[in-house]
Amino acid sequence: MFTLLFSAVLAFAAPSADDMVKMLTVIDDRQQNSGDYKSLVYIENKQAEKSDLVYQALVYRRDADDKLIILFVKPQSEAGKGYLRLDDNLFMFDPTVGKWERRTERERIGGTSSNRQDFDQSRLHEEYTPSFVAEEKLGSYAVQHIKLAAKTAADVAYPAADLWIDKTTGNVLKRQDFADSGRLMRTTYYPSWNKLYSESKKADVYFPKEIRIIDEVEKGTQTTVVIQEVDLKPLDPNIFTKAWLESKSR
Amino acid sequence: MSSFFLAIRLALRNVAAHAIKNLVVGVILCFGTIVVVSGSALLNSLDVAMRRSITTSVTGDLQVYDKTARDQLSMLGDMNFGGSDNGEIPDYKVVKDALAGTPEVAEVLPMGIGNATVFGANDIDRTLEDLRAAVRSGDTARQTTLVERLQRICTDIRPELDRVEAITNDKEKLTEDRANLDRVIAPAFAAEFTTDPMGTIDWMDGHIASLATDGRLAYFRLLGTDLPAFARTFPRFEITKGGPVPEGERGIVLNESMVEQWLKHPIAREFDWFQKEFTQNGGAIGTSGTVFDRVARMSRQYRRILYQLDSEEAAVLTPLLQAEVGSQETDLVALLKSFLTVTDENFAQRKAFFYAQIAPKIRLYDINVGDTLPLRAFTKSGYLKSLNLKVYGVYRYKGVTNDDSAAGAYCLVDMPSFRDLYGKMTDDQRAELADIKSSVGAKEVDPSASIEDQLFGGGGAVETTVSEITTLENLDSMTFGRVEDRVQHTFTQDQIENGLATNVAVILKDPAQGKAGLTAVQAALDKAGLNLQVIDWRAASGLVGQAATVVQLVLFVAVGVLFLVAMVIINNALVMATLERTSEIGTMRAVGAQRGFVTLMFVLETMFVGVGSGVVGVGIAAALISWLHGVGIPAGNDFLSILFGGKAMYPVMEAFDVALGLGLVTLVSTIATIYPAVLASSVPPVVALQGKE
Repeated sequence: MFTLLFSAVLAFAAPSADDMVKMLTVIDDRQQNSGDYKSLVYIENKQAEKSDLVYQALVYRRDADDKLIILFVKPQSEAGKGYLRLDDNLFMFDPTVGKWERRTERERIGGTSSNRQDFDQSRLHEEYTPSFVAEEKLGSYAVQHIKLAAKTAADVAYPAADLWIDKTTGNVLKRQDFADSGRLMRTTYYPSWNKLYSESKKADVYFPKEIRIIDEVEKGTQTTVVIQEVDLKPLDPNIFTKAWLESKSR
Repeated sequence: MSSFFLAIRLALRNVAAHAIKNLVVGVILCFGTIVVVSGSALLNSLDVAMRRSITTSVTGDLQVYDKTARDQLSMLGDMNFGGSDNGEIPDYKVVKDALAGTPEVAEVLPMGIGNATVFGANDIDRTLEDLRAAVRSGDTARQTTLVERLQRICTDIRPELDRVEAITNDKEKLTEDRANLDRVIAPAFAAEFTTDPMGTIDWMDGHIASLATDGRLAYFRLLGTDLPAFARTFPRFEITKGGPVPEGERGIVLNESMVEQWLKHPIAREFDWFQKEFTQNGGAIGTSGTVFDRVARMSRQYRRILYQLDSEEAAVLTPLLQAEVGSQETDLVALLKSFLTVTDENFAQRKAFFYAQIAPKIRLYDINVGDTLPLRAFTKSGYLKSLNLKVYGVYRYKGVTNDDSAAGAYCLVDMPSFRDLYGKMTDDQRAELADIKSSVGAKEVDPSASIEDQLFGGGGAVETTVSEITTLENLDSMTFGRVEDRVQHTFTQDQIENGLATNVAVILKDPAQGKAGLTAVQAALDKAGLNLQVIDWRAASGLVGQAATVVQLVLFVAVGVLFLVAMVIINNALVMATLERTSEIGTMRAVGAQRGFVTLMFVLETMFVGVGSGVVGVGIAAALISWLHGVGIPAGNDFLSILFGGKAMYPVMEAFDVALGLGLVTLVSTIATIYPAVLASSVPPVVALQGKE
């Protein structure tokens, strides 16, 4: 159904505003699971003149309640650290000191160039207003280039973004985030997508196989996120609490 | 020989015969001597005081660090604001062993310089943390008190949202925030809390806490070292609160200046700052300027007090405030605003009241002795590393109080804790990261080529259907062990010495022989094949050392200019005095005196005047320096207190200063006499006698 809808929307060279909102809605819906979501992710950060940062983390999502946990499991020295999103708050927990801290949307997850949005469910149609730029080529793929402006109430890391959407499949292949000043902050690539059938949703759930984030401010800094495994079965109801994350280090 | 003695006799006679002229010359020479002797004494005293101040505080006489370091080691501040890269010394013990046989070296000490932060929770976060602890311990009375405090805070925040309404576009969020605050303010909230305390705390965490002003992030400049050895080695180090970190245990000792300026309650710091302004700079609140602006802002900071008061404390404080401000107002907010409206007349009384009545009821310092400090630092490899360290004490350097320079800003931690926060990766850790990387096998992209061509140039399917994965189930039950078990709590002397340091302090047996010591230490390190460099205390002190050098240079130039002016006056006076006596010279030449004899006589005459004036000048300079030594030259500001090694400098005069003054004045006056004497004696006697010179 999604493909049909996309084909209809993308058949026109210059989609209307409504069409673009539909495109964003489709992108969001594809990635959303009506039940829970759990994944094992690999995060690698490369920075000039520094050693690589490498993590493995579990990401837990309950999209219906806007809840998210990122729990670092490797390396050993980082195990037990984590982030918890509850409503509009992002908390960070460090078991070494047993303290929680409230962090902002711009928090660099684990000191990498990734932020909370890279691991959370997609809310493009809720958070941004789209406008069409052009049809372009990205490598060997034909793409729709659209601009996004954050809605006033949106709790997002960057107020403006550009998206390049694959004309054939409707998947986002490239994204650029901009600061208020118009300065390009980061470029993100989604070279391939996986889809997995969800029993609770009775449809496929899409997730990027890997994400490449280029830090445009700190030149030479690049973060790769690989979503290694995804599980869509229901999670323990008490998982999205501070107590649960703390219990991992007791 | 007889003519020489005759010249002496005549010179002495001339000193007496031309008493007035010689007195004038003598006074000028005396002034010159005072300038040279006291100037030299001040410069030398400053140098000694500064060296003592810096070398006995933190740098030692010499510092050893990595020869390949990107930045020069600057222990007392640099332009990198703590972000300097001073390289690494992989194993301190190797350096210690290399210097063990160097006779010039008295002691060596490992050091590690780093930065850390402590997240400052806001007042609601802190109250919720206390409330969570009260729930866990079952202290219901404390829970009631803290819930009431939260209700008071929410009541105070509520009207702020009306102001937010004028500037926000997110009306939905505003409505939600108002409803959340109303829920807490409502009388029924206390009962609601008791039905599900932890659930309610979590709810407040997410919905209420973010409405308070953000807490302050405190920055700590850390100096890791062998703490007992540091206390022994640096005599100006003294603990003023608490005690030292027990040997072999982890801990931190805070710097007093840092505590006063960064960790003290903001209102207390304002009172302290005003006091300093009034006493040091003779300031008053006035009607404009920085002091006026800060005083005007203070009444708006009443929340800093209000949010920390429990109900009982508020009840006790209200009548006291009423008496203090002379009002029957019962609203605590109004009373606090009125109390914090400070004038020149009520300042002293308000400050005294604050410290006597309010300070004991609030958290005067964010961190106190006995607290556990959750330090956080980005390691060299980029990971965020945290460590809980107990605060054992507060220290300062004797004689220096509350300076805001970088000199006093180090908080001292044990060496293993420094190394943990520094985060040098071990071989095992590197191997673990390599394992994780290889198990995932993420495709490497070539940074020199177009990333888009690499990722999207090959075409192929964008989407892939994958099947359900069940291995993640096992991970849900994964735990990582108790945090306490991950940190080694005690350590041995070997563990202090075997490991990384960023620099090493060297104490010389004879600090006055700094250059010889530096050469010997460098030679010992080179002999051991260590790629390390040695710098003296002045270079190691960084900006402070450079500024001190500038101060000394300015002082030296000032003394030099004064002396030069004195010399010109002396020269002119002597030329005039000599040329006035041309007819006398002519008479002497007419009765057979040779030109050399006449010149010698004049030179000797000036030397006598010079030595006599010099002795008097030295005496006056000695009296002046002695008086200054007694009363001290006040430092006046924090920078000078570093240079002076305390609140005042007490200069001393040494033999060198006397010798320099006497020698220089005599030499210059003698040289200044030769020219006019030679000139006068070259006039033919007939001409001289006719007064036609």
